[in-house]
Amino acid sequence: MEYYFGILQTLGFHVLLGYSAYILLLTGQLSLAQVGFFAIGAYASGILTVLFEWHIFPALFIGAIAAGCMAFMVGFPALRIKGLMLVIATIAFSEIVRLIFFNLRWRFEINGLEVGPDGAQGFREIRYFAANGWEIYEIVWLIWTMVAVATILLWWLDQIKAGAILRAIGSDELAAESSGINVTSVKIVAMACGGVIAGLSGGLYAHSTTYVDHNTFTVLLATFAVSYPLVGGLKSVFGTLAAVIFIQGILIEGLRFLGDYRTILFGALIILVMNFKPKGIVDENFVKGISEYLRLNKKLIK
Amino acid sequence: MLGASYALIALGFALVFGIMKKINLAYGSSLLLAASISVCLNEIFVLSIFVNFVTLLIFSVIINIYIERMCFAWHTGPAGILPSMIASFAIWMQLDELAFRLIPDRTHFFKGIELGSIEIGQLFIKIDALFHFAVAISAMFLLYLIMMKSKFGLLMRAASENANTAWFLGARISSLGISAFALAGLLGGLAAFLILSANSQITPMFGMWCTFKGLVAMMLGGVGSLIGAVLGGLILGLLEAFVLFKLGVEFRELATFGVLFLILIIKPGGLLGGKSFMLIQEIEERV
Repeated sequence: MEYYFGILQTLGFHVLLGYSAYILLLTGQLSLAQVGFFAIGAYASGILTVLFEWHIFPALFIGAIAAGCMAFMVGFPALRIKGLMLVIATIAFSEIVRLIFFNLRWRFEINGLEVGPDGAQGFREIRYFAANGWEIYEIVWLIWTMVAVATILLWWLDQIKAGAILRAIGSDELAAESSGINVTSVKIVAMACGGVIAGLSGGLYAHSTTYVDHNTFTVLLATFAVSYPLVGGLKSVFGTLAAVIFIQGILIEGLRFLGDYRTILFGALIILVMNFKPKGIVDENFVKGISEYLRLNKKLIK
Repeated sequence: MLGASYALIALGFALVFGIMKKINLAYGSSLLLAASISVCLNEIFVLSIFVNFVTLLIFSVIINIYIERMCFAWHTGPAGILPSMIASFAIWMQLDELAFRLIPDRTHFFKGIELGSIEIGQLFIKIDALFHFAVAISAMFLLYLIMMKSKFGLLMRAASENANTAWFLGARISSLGISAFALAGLLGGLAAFLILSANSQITPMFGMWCTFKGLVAMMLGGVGSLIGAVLGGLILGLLEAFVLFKLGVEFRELATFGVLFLILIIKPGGLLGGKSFMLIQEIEERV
């Protein structure tokens, strides 16, 4: 049972990370900085609960806000450039964040134990859940509540004007600008929202694994973050959710019996999806097909 | 001295970028895999350095053609930028995993050229470092000749300026793509051999390291411009040596990425990339 709860936790972080890339991809920006915000959220909320002995909820909140502020600040200069240059710039940002945490050493004694981030050794003592007697299903419940809230918010975003504005920028920036949308500020807000979601995910990750180090926050994780929405398709937020379950749940966990060779097969599957369905699994045709199918069913029932 | 090798890797990136207008993120891993295959072969049958070198080059070319066929041949035009990038990430994972299979230990000995060293007054110079520098510079010169004098180079330049027009005028873009990747593989293989024989060891981190250094060097110099790539590589080498000397090891990588971030924000096209950058922006705006 523990194993399945573990998988559920991992799925939760990855869904949130995918969402944070999704909201930015709606505006047509591919950003690999998500993992940087994830790292900031993880370290910030970890430091708050361990070094300052805060309760978990304010710590998560502050971690998410810190990541959002960072995203806001990075957004100003970085969103002046677009396309491939933005990808490279955000890779650079993520690596800068990772290297700063790699060099961060900030330890002092609390209750006779020396705790805190320890450079290359990582940040080991994030034991909030264990120290306060949380059961594993409670942690899973917390994570998936957050995921559900984020999903509902993003789904709701698609129903109101804000979602239309985001998609307008994504499909044609020039047209959006000429119809009176302030493109840069919308992009920065999207970036900040993505940062908040990624930071929240990072905080949850740090507390449920009890240990973070710089090796987690490499470009590989950033690629995973952007590949969920791209594989799942940008038509709906559920595409990202489905892609996370498909990639993390089925491909990575399901192929575990293949041992280390699964990475090779996994790569091949991603390439196949990208080559045959460059717009993602849940693309326009898929959505149309499903809605037609549902309509057909309704007619049959009548 | 490292600057020259950076410049070679950056040239590989710039060649591919020039033809495809896309970035091959699996480039470093392809070099890692080629190098680890040649190390493995060397461990099974003890080979001479020359054979080692040739196998490295051959495998690097083969793997790069594989990358081209798998990721980039499928996605033409600017709409394919994102899918091809994700696909090249996937290839990156594949190649890295294969390389881990081949060289399971953290570090492996890499047989390189050793020529001893000379002293000139206060300076202490290794001859093999000089030799590497000379090889790298002559490879660049050779590439310059190929690009400027031969018909193949003319085709490549035409395709990188405007692929559609070149296609209308009878250039076969797809085969040009393959040859650009093969040439990039050749250059990268040479650079990998030089770097590895200077370090005389190979670690699984080598692939990612190569990708980042090449990317940074290319971006510094100017996107898609070959001379810019060389310049960027040399500047990056100097910068790293300087930071290493002044601030210490921890700040070296940090400085690299910091400079990259700044350059991208202040002058997104890189130092020399004015023209080709405008071209890309034009394409992106037409989408």
